[in-house]
Amino acid sequence: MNPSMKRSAPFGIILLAVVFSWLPAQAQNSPVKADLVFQMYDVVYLTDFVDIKSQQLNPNISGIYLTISSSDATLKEKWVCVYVELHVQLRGESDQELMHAFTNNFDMMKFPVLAANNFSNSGSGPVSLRDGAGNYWENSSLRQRLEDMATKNPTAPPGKYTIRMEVREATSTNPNDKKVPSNAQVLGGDAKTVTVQYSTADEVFVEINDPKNGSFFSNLAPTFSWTSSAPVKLSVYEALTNHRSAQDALTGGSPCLVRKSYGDNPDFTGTSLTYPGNAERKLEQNKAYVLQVEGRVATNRGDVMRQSLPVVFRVTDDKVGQMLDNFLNSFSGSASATYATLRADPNNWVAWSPYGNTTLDGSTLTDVDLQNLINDLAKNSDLKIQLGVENQ
Amino acid sequence: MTKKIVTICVLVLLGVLSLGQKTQQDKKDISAYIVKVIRDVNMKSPTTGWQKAVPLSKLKSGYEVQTDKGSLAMILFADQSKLILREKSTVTIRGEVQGKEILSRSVHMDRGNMIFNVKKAETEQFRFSSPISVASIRGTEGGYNTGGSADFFTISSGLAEFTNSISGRSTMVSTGNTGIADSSGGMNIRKANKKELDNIENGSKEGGDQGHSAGSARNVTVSGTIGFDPSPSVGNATTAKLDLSPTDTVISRVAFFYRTKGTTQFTQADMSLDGKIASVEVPGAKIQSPGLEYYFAISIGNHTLNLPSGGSGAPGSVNVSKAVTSSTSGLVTITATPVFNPSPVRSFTNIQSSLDLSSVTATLSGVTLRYRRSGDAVFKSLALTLSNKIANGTVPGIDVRAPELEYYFEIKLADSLNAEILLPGDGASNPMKITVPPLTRIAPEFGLLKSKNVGSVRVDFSSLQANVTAVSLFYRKQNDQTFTELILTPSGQVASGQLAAEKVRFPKLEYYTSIRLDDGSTIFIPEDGASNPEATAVQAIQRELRIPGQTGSLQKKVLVLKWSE
Repeated sequence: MNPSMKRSAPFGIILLAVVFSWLPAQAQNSPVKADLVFQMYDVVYLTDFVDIKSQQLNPNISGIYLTISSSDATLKEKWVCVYVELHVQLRGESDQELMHAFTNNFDMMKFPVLAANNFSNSGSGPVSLRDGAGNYWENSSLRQRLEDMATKNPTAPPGKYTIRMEVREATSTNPNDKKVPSNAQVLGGDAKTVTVQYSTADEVFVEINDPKNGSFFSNLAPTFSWTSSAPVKLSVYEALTNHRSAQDALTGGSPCLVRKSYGDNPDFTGTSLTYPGNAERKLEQNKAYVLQVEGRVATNRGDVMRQSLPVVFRVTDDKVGQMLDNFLNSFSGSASATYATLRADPNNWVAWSPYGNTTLDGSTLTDVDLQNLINDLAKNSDLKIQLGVENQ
Repeated sequence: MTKKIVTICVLVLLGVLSLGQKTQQDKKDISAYIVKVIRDVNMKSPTTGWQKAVPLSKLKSGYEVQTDKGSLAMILFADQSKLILREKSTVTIRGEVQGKEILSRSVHMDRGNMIFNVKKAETEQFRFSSPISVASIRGTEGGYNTGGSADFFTISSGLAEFTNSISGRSTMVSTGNTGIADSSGGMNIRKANKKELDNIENGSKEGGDQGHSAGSARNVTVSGTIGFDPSPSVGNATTAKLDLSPTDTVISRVAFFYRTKGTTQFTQADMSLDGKIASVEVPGAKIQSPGLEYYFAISIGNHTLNLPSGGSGAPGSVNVSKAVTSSTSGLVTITATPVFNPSPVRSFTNIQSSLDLSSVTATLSGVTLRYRRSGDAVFKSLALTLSNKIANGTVPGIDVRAPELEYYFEIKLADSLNAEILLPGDGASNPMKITVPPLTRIAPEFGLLKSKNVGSVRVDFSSLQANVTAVSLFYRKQNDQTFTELILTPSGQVASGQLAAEKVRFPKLEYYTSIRLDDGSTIFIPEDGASNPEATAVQAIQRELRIPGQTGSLQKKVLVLKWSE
């Protein structure tokens, strides 16, 4: 393998480290300011940054650049070089140094903004790693491991990547100077840690703890709680009478309540929410709803939402259910057993007026009528009741 | 007074049908009987041509029944399921039984109008079909009409599945609804209208549907009376007559069983039948005081029913008059036989009293009948009309009450002393007696009684020869403690009213009737009133409670509760 190519590994991370390395350099007697712009991602797709086969940096990386400036307006030329050191702490392991290296000498006044394409071909741009013995060291076994991981997985291995950089006074204005500038004066330095949380978005855990699927309650301000390893967005959809599954409600209805925890509503954080009384759409009695929580995973390809399983909940005072509980639980035999099964998890059956009225021989009954009827039936100890369930 | 239909044939048929089931487990054709025929009804088997159908005609699987214009037929199955075919209807019956279990049963109606009352079976479903539709029924009452471009299937009680055979579309028809299947495959359901429901109720009444129980003996009456001609008197022959004209069934034989009151052994005499009137002469030697006890044995097919229904255990009775001797006045002693008609005496029916004194040589100035109800202190006086020495008079029905009428005669002689002779001689201290049976012939007629529905009742008291001032029905649901009084509204000699729905409950309604007379007395029928009331069946109704509901996965599931009450 071409030593220079070897030297350019581990891929974009080292080169990114070079990009990231511009620090607020302080010239001798001349302040140097460096600003590094980049985004933090939970998941990083390596192939967006490097070509794995050629181990070359992708020249088209966007959103990452370095600006170098000086407060001395009269400064016309300033030659510097940069020392970079990269540490890697993979998930579950201890911190290890991956590499350290020096760049060549360059005039920072001529190159105030540096981007990835400035480093895409090793040794071919004005700023690159310095050739010559002693200028570059790497932990080859760790590097090999990272290479192996990258070959198998398109995303960066989860872990912490710490970059420490120093801007040093160049010992000459010769950009091809190969002498190791280990004793050069340090004009400034900085360290940054990039944390890659997940190898894939699928690692993000999002689950609703409360309410349980199929549950019902009578109050109009229930409290939802969830567990998530990512910031969440919470949505409540109304389940209409023609919806026959939670999915129907998610895709067919408009959200009742949407709360975002990231960026938009900074006051909303945490793992629980009580349905707010000032919500634009309030919860109503005798309506069914579907709750879903989405965890947001930031990747360099954009945000990926990890959704929880949807949870159906109903708002009802369940008067009729309680009447029937009291009545049928006193019966022995199949009617009582059938009813008990219907009411228990996972059926969680409740009387539901939006589906139609309670009728006796075709005539509509109010709740009071029904209670009176049940009271009347309960007096007959010889009564034989057949109970059936019709699916509609 | 409405004719009361003798339900003997029904009882017989039930016995025949239940006895007809073999205990063996081999499969056989289902059988049924035509129990009522009005006008022209024909039937045919798979192997024979059309022939006239008569009551008790037996039907088997594959048999067809056809009614003509203005005609009606009632078909009864072993489980008491009933079909009433109205005019211009044609049906074919099919089915199979195994032992006592009905395996399958269906009726195909090519055209016509049918009322049905199907008893609920554990497993078997009764199927009705036509060229357009099919109905599956279990424990349901209703009507089925086919023959045009649409079939109408009405349920008055219960629930049934109704399918359009052309399109396969199906619907459940519940109580008070009508399913409509048309020849284009359409299927609709709507509320049944009054005409449809009345048609079913009237059909049920016509069939004499009294609910689940068979008629009791008290409900069996013979219009035209049981009669003895002449009124039995000691040593004189009399002809016993039984008029069975209202009976629609064929009577093969009537036997008359009789004995002198106070003895144990009955004598049997076969009666001659002239149409529906049976008669036999009872020899004079068998007519003895104080009375004759009797019952009739009526043979229908292979079965015999008794009238009164208690047979030898509770026979009817008729008084037998005997000659009595008076007291003596001077040289005059009178012996005569008082005769009372009708015979047998009926309570609250005027009694014609006749005393033949033509053998008395003395001149008579007057005859008075002195009588009282047993238990009364005072005798009433009835001046008899004397013509050719035969004294006649009428005891008003109001005074003719169970258990007895006590009486004696005062015969005045047209002599200088206006002597009075008592017949019998002891007069008031030892009067003669006529046994008067308790009043049973007044029976309320109920409309079809369905549980928790208002019921109608009427009482025809026209046969009472007494002035009625008020009629009440005391009723309660079975096993209740207290009776409710319903004061009936009179219209002529019929009083009617409506029973409160909450008191009309399956299985039975208990009741007794109270009739107040213009003398201030009140009679109860039965006479024990509240302590021994009558009972009539109340048809159970199938109730269905439907509660739509939702499961936790948004599925719609309807809870359906059914019960009978």
